[in-house]
Amino acid sequence: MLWVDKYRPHTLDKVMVHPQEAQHLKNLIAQGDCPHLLFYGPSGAGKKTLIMALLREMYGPGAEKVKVENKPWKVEAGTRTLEIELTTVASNYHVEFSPSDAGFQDRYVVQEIIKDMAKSRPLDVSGIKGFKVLVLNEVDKLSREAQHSLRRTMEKYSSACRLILCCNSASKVIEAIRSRCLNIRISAPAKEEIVSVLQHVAKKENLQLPMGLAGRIALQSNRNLRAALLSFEACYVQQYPFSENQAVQATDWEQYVAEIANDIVTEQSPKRLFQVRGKLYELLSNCIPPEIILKRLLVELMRKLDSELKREVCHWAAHYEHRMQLGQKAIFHLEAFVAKFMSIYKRFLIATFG
Amino acid sequence: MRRSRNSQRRQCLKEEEEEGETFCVPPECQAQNMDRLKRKGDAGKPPKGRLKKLRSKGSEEGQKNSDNSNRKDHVEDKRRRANFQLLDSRLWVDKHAPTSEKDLAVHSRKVSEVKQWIEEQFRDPFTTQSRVLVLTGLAGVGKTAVIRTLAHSVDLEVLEWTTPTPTLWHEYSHHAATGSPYTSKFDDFEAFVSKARKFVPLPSAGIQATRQQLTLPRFEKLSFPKERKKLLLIDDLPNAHDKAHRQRLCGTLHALAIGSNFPAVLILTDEVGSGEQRDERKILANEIIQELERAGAKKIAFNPITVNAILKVLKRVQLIEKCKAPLACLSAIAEGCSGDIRQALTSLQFLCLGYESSSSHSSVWDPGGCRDTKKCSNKTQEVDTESEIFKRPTLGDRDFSLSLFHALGKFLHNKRQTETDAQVQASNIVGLKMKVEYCRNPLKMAEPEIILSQAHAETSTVAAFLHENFLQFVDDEASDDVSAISAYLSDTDCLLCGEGNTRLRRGALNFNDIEPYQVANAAASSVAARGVLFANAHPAPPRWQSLRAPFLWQVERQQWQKKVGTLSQAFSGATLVSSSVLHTELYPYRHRFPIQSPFAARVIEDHDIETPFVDEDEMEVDAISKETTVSKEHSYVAEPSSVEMDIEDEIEEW
Repeated sequence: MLWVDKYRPHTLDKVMVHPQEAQHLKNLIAQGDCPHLLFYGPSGAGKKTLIMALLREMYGPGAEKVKVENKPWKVEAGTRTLEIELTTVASNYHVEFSPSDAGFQDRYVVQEIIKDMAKSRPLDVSGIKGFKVLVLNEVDKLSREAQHSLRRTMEKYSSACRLILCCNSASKVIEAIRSRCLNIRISAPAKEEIVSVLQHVAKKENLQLPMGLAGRIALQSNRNLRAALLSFEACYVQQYPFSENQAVQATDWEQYVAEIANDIVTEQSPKRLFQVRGKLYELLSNCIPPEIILKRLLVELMRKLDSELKREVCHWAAHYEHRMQLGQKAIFHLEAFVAKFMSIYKRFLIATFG
Repeated sequence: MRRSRNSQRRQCLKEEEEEGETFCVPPECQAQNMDRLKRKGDAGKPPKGRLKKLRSKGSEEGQKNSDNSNRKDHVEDKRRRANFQLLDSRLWVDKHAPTSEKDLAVHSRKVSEVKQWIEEQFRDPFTTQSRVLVLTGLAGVGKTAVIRTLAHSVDLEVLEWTTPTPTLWHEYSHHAATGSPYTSKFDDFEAFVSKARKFVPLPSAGIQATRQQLTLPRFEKLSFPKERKKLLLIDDLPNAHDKAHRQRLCGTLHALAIGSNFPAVLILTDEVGSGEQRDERKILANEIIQELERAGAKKIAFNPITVNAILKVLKRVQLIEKCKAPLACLSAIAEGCSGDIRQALTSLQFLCLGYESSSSHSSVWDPGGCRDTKKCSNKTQEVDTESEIFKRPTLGDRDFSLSLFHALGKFLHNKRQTETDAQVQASNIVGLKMKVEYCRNPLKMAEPEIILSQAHAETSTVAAFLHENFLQFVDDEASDDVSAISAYLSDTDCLLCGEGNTRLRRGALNFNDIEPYQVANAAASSVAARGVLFANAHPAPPRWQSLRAPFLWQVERQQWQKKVGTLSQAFSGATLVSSSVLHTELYPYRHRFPIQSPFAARVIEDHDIETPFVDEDEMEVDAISKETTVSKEHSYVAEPSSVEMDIEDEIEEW
């Protein structure tokens, strides 16, 4: 088992990163009921850990006995019957799934499938009807229609189920949903917190982790605890005992983006842009999200830039990131950014060196 | 008063006719005059005296000219009658059908190809090779004419399958009593072909000698039954609606291709435009061509006739017919007919008709065409490019359709007028002076929107193709241009995904008739096309370029497959993770670790736990669905992975 999973805290008491929030949650459910919840915060901050710990707090260890299912749902949509496949993780008390996986059919998932799930309520031993908890991931990636459907579903079945929504950015969730939930922001852990978690894991694994290495892992992880733990484990696989100045390897896609940045800076021409396009396609077809590519690419380019250009380049990166959200074909916008950068950089080079 | 006005008008017309062929007063001008008069008359305000004066003046003139006009009328009548006789007799298309090889407007290479084939057929009458030739091409590119002319020149008898007229139901019920059975036209065709295959054909039912044959005096044909070489021509295939019929038709033709005793020519007309029916015919034509080629038949594809060739023919015909349509009109017809010579000739005939006969005639018939004629006639000498563009006769223009690749080629190659042309143009344009960097030479093509509607392509397809291919058409130094083009394509994508532009409503656009919901879509494709044209200020030197199919589609497909394929692994601990986390964080690390178990192991071990779910049925369904591994079919369009086409060459040939 990966260390990430192995050392995931199971109860709210043992949570290391957001003890305050955990305490609040514990108080919240002490009365036996809870409102709909919306957890939001950056990736790797501990949202899911808190949710699972919360469920365990509510239902006991049974909530952690989950099974994964991948099953097709038949949905009647007007005259047609759609078949939507959905992966769910379910225990006896809760069901977790990502409605946005259904792509543009997400509306039907929200309308029909959630309704279907919400209808059946668990009974406890004494025959008292309890709540069923639905955990919905990536709510911010739902389309607007789907979010509105979700709002209605929430109201209609609030007697039978509780929704726990989880997303990265609350700003992409419509107001109507946000106001119906208790919003809980889970911030990214500070670097020191990550280091302490790493040390904690090292202790459990009986490893000697030098502080310098832990610091660098934490730095490279970009305040993402999951990434930090994964790269810590990768370091362990690579070399043990650790040395103080051991290199922390970036992931392969990050290296690939760095390579692209290098390509762009060394030559600016249509031909080079064509090569870059090929590499971008490579990344995209490996399911690396375009926003992350753009962000990473900007970070890599910033390292190589004269500070005079930084503001302009950032501006265009933001511009095309926004475009990417509006549009559908991410490559158009990624490439437009690269082309813009080439144009700016080339002009700069000519102006500076003639 | 009305009568007087009418008489006045008639008088005017007569005067005009006396003056000869030119029109001194355009009819709309006249109409305006009449209107003005009428309005004044109705209002009652105008000085009656003036009106009277006008009227009296008209009548005076009428009296003066009465004897003169009588004579003229007579002449006019005669001429008109002559015209009508001409009309009655034959259309110019038939009248001026090519009689010799040099009259043909078809490219000489194609003609010689067909000629060679015919000669081959008769050099070796016992050849085992297939004796079927398939000619394809758009309507009116001279497929039949080539065969007829060549057959005539080598003294061949052309036997043609003429499709029988369909039997109407009441006809059938009328004849049913007499015992004549109903035969399907399809069966007729089949029988005809099988007979034709086995026996040397004689002119009989179902086969008619061609027109050249008919024009011979009858006795000659009877008294000289000399053995002429024969050629079978199938120009019209029976309708095949469903798959079974299509297969039967293919089978029949296949048999013909394998075992025909004498040469046969099958003519298949390409369909253009869009729509279900077109697709059906296209499928059929493709099936037949495949079938015949498998049987060893030769296929020759005809291109649309070039503008120059059509112009040549038009001039020849005009000379013979002695009509005086100006050159500008002729070239407008030649350009407007999109390579269809039949259309061109008919338009010319129609135009000359309006041109020669009186103005009342033409003003009733075709205001558009006639107005053009006049403008052209006024400006016969000064044929400047502008007038040509603005004064194309609306008369004979045919719906013109381009292949997607042709349209893309136009956008990408970005052909513009040269400096000197442009300077002349620019000096004519009075108005705002633009900054130099925003100035571009005028395009050497129709408006991009027109090209787009002619290509019948979806915006997203056009954008994807442009995006895939534009880089190789930009000069290697022009980074700024590339950046501008990419920016325009990015705009296109945003416009396409804007509000109210849902997936279902996409489709090919017609810029002449844009529905409200298509506006964003139309704007998007316009931005894409014009953006590529405008921003490519430094095009790469023209050279042979092949167009690739967008790689983007393949990437999207792979992405989707991968995403779906890994969905079942997308969890960590007891919870799901999003695909972005999976692919950016979990995956890259996971394959560095030697032990890769947790995910298979986690698929849980607690089947035996009692379920407090109310819904029992659901559980069963779950259990079943868990067993089945679901293979996926994606809704993504399966596109040919690499479509390459030689645009330059195609344009050359056009």
